[in-house]
Amino acid sequence: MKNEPSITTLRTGDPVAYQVIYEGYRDAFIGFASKYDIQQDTILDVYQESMLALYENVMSGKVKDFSSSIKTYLFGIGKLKLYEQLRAQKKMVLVDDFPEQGEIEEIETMELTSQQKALKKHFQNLGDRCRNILELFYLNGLRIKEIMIAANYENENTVKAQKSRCLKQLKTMMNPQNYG
Amino acid sequence: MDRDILIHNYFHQKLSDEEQVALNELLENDPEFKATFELEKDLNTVLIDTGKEHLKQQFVDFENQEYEPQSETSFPSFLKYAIAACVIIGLSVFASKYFIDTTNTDDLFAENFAAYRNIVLPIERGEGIDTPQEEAFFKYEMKEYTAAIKGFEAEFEKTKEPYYLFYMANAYLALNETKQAISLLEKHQNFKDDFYEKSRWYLALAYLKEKNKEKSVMLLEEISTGDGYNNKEAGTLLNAIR
Repeated sequence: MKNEPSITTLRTGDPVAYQVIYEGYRDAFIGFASKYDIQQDTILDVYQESMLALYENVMSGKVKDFSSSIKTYLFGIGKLKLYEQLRAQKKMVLVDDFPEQGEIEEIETMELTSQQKALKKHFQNLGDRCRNILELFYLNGLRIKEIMIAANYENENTVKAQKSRCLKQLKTMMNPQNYG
Repeated sequence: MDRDILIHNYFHQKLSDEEQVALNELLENDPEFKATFELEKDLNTVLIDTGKEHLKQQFVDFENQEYEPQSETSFPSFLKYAIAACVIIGLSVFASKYFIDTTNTDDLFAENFAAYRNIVLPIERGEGIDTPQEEAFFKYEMKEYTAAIKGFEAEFEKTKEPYYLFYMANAYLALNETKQAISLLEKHQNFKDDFYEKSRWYLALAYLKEKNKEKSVMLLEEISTGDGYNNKEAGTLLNAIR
């Protein structure tokens, strides 16, 4: 891939940018993993899980920059996941092919707590406008003025008031004791 | 200190030292702030989790579309294929004779049109929008085409930069207002700026959308015989039109 998407673009959660990476390195990863006695479906699962770990690490800020390239980082995660897979199946591996665990900061993906699971459910029950404004602010990283333009609000104060109302609504839907 | 800026910078790793101190103080001394902050942190985690689910589905859909195994025919027979081929050829001849002029130009346009990306002033989300020019291009990127056109018009009046005509035309095409787009692209052709070749491709598409096949074909022939922007695509489109 000639031009990898920038970390700034990836931080917005742009699905197109992640798709570009997925398609760009898919065949190379399958090529590498096919050296081992492992099924094609499993390789694809590992590759997809690695992409999701990349997404999570970028979006949560665990990765602030890629020291070399996205490809190196993605393959680092993928190789560790493959290694785990092969070890679980008690298959022989060439250790040199696989990075040390420490070279990649995080390959374990997060599990939601029961409180977060409840929050996720309640979030789905919010109206479209609320879901949209909260996603733009908390996930995609748009500032108040940018949300005003992107979602056609009259002015910045309207955005602030609407965001605050939506958050309050969510708080009320949850057991208020959970959040103070 | 503005609470929204503080929270935004926290979630997107942009807190300055001063802001970090302010945030710590609020967390220590304001229980209501702390409670809402905990909710916001959980919300951020939940949204990332949902984003992962969407992404996973996107990859699965891609695999199913691009690499779906061919279904096996249980009883392949030469005769069956030969008959099918004859029927297809027969229908094609019939269609080419009687329906050629009704080739769906709307479909061809839809298959080939994508509003040209913003390369004049790419906007980094979350970095702030400070000028009317940035605001216009941001609207364009967010597909708020009507608002973007308004901004581009004002900027063109001020600066006379021809690329505003090109982007305005793209926005009109996206809004299916083809006549305005054609008029702007024809005007833009006079400037011969960096967008000249791209503008020709979009003009050919616009003519096609207006069902002006003659002009569209003429332009596509010129594009496809050159080595400029979308010359290969122009050849493919020509074949589809003919």
